[in-house]
Amino acid sequence: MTTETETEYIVNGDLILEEDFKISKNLIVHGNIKGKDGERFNIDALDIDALDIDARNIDARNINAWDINAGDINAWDINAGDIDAGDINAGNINAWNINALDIICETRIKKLKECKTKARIYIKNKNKIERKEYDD
Amino acid sequence: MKTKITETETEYIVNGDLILTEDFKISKHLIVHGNIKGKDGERFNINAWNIDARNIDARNIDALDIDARNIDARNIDAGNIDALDINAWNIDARNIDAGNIDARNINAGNIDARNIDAGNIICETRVKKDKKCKTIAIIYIKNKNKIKRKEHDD
Repeated sequence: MTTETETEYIVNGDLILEEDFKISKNLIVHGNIKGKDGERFNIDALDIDALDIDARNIDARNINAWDINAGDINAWDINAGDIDAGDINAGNINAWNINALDIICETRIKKLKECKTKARIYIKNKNKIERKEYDD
Repeated sequence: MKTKITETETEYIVNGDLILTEDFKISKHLIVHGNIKGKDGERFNINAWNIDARNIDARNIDALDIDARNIDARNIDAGNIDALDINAWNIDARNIDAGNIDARNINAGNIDARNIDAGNIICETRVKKDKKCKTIAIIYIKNKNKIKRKEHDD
């Protein structure tokens, strides 16, 4: 069942996508977000609040989920259990374990000391790095 | 001038501008003999096998190859991009061959361009078309494929 208000799009159950999903509202899913037949689609919303998210690319202001499995994630804040992704470009990441290709963020908060951050490129405090010209 | 659209089994050909009123997705080669843009300045997502156009103004572009004069988009996700100027937030591509790139994030295989002014550049190689070309960025990482994925201490 789907309920829509002026600011929210609420799904009571799983949100099964058959195409890219784009909404200028907060997406609240009391279940999982995934594509039909295992296919992955792009999700674009203001804030996303869901159990597990399985998507191609996620573009959102804030993402709050248990597990995120995506191609690339572009967000301000990510608050999640485990993240398994290609590239993550975010402000603050608050998560259990992250397994990604490249992570560029401002802060990385681990929910427990044992949590792992596995990446090829891992850059924190991105806003403190000055823009400059590079010699090649 | 009325825009004429010709569709074959593998190609979607637009003689004139392609004015979008909603997201555009096609499993064909998109050839536009004009510009791709949204109606009333709005921006939409474009998803196609290959895109060949004069100017592209879009929200997200997802294609195997893009060959355009100017690309102005929020996100570009493509196999190869061959353009004169690229102006985008994020570019995610295998190879970029361009005049100037002005972007927030570039994640690419090989970049062959004149000037790059970007937030983050992560690439395999950066080829300058001449010595005067500049690479300006906050984060600039080359030889990305030589970097091993490992666990990081926070």
